[in-house]
Parts: sequence; C-alpha cells; structure tokens
Amino acid sequence: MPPAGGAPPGLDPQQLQSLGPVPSGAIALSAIAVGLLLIAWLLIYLLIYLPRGMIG
Amino acid sequence: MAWTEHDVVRSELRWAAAVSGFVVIIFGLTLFAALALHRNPPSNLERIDPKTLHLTGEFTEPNLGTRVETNGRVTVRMVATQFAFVPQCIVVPEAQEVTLRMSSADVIHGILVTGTNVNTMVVPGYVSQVHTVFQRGGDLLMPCHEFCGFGHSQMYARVRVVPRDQFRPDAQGRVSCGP
Repeated sequence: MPPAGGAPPGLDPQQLQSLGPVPSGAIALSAIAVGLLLIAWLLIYLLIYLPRGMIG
Repeated sequence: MAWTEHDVVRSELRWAAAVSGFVVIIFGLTLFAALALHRNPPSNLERIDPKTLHLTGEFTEPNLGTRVETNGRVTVRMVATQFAFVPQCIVVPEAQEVTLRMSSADVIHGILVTGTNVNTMVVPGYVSQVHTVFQRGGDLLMPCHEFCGFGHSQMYARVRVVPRDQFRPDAQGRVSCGP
C-alpha cells in the first residue's frame, strides 16, 4: 500500500501503486500451510501419542 | 483493488485470532494430557556418583533388572554403559505400572522403547526415572538414541512385556529373561 504522504523520493508512484493489491492466493497458501501443520500435529497427538499410554 | 490500511489491519487481526486459537487448542490438549491422563515428560532430578555406581548403592549388579518391591510396585534398574545396557533384557508385566530407573557409568546415553512413549536421556551423575504402563505384550526394542561412541549402533536392550499371569517373581521378587 502506498504511504499516505505519497511515494518516497526515487520511487515511481505508479510502480508503488501496483504493490497495493494483496494477492488472495498468498492468503490461501498461508492458510493451507498453517492448516496442514495443525492437522499433522493433531493426527500425531491423537493417533500415536495418546494411544501409547501414560508416561511420567 | 488496492487494500486500504483498514483492510490490512483487519486481515492481520484475523490471522492473529486464528493463530491464537490454534495455540490455545494445543496448550489445552497438552494440559489435558498432563492433568487428566498423566502424560508428562520425565522430570526426575536425582544425583548419583557415577564413579561408585557399580560398587555401592542401588545400581550394584545384584540390584539390576526387574524387581517387585515390598509394596508391590514393579521397578526396573539398568545401567547404561559404552556400549551395552545391563541387563540386556528385562521382563515387565503388561497393563501394570512400571518404574524404570537407570543411570550411566560413563557418557550421556538415551533410551526409547519402540511403540511406547518411553523416551529419556541417561546422563552420568543423575538417575533417570520413567513411570509407564506397557499396554501390549511382546518383545520391544530399546535402543540407545544418543550417540555415545563408535559402538552406539550396537547398543540396545530388549523389553519383554508378558501377561500378568506369566509375570512370576522369585522369592527375592526378581524377574529375569533367563530360563
């Protein structure tokens, strides 16, 4: 997003403007990555760690 | 369409809320396992002199192996040393709480028992203690999982889990793998 005061010196305002839109694919990718990590953790916890019994 | 400052803040707050939710879920499950199911990392802190480990006290040779204490509890004592566990095979009852106590005479070793949550370091100068219940019968492998020298890959013991009716201590309360 362009800064409120306009483009910093040496930068083309139009180029800066093109950085404004946030690609929705990046958000989807992050969500999938975080979701897969959480699912992997839950599967290991529920299917391997808990059935192996008490420890202490 | 360019995002406004408001859009960015809203997106970041959503992410913060989602990640906070995940952290709460994971901490909640961990606390539940610790408090309700008694699953805790082994945290025994007990000093012992590694120089006299084999000469005096709990880890002398006659005390090693599986023993049923006078209060009925089953305790296994082992010494980890380059490059073997002593004894090399232990017998434990199935579906009954067992206490594993071990110490090292030389360098840092580590143990895990395959298919169980038993997993701890064995550090010279300290007694490692793990309470567990073996739920399935059979011979389990117990390798050293901390590189301890050139013979590390040959260092392992066997844990023989037997049904409770086949777990027969002798007059001294000892049980061993031998005939």
